[in-house]
Amino acid sequence: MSDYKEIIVKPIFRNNPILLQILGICSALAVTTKLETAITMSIAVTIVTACSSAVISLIRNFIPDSIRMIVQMVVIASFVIVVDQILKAYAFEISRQLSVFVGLIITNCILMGRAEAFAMKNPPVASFLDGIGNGLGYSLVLVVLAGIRELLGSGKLLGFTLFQTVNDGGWFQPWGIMLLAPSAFFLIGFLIWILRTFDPSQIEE
Amino acid sequence: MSKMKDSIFGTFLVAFVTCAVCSIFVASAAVLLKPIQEKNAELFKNKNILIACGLVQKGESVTAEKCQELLNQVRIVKVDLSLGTIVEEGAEALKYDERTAAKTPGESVKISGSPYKVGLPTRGRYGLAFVATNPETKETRVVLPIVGKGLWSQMSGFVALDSADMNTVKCLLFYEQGETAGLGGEVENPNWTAKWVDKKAFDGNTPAIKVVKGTGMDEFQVDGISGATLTCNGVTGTVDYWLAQYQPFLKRLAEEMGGNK
Repeated sequence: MSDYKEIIVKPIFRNNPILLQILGICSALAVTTKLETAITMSIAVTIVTACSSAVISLIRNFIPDSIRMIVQMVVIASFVIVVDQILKAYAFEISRQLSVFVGLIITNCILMGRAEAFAMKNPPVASFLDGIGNGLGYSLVLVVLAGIRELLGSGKLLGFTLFQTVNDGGWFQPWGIMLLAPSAFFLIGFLIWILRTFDPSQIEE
Repeated sequence: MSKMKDSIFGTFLVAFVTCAVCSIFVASAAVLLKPIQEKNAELFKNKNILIACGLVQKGESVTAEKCQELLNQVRIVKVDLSLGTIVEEGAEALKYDERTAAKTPGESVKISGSPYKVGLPTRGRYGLAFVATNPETKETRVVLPIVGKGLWSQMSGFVALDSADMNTVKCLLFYEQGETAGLGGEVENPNWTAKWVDKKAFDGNTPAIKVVKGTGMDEFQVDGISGATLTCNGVTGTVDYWLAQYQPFLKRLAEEMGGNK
């Protein structure tokens, strides 16, 4: 049991896919201007990573080495399309805001990385939990980034105004850069810095 | 086992089975969810009609009931495009689907010899139009659906004219398009469509509004999107084509509304 707990918890801080492995940066820049889209994206990525890892692990002994990656991609892509269809049906407005990025989960390195590194060598339950763990690690970073960016960029959280902006007659001057992609780079850099200060074992030689 | 799976036959077998299972999975999800998605798409389209009418603000969230209630305030007409006459009015008219009609022989008209590049082979014989007055500003708009080809895809949207002169553009928006995200896809960006507001649609009797590159802005010209010249050309052709098609109707409507005053 403790093994399973370890599999879920480890990718959140000690082996975070974004902060340590530096994977999945592209979507972390693109969908974090607002908390709402970041949360939806996080849930989508977590579900797809967990399900595709479990399925790939289930069929890992049947997958021929020569078409290993293609089979993984087919499984991942199927789950992504289904998640995209579900979003279009039940969260139409958000799916329009996420636009191409749901489809681009297919190319998120975290999924392929977990399939190759973990699911091909481990049983389905462990792979499923590993997918959940990595999804949560990704989600944590996305939610922190989006929270900071939405609050400082537009004075809101989840659409509710916390800081009245100057344009609306308040006091808060929004940080324009927070709505642009580069700010996510700086913030990810800061997060890595903070994390490595507390856990020096992550520092590369 | 391991010899079997790495043989040519085994490889093909696994590839085939994986593809078959995955395609069934994806196809059933798509089929099962389609009715809900279509409902969403219809609500979204109606919401965009209301935005073009100036009854709903962009970004405002509207429930299905509120949407229906506001739509009841809109005069919906089905127009015979070549004559400019109204053939049907009211909620029933909304059931007319120009896109399906354009593909049905007998219901459609060939597009040829038009100076405006709309990029479509046929159009429906009829078209819808919406007339709505904003209760606060008392401004009345005539909203016309437009559809045409961009660079890759068919773009659908609405253009709204001020009914006072049937010439001043009050709103332009696209609610459906498949142009390159970030380039042509920016036709949906409210910051860009805002540039159309208060431009003039017709120069005399010819539709003259167009998207141009940066310089020499006059009342018929809209600043283009950089990196999306071909999509913008499609937008110009689409808007001007439909303005020309609706022109007889707009003239009749102007007379009718002038008579009421």
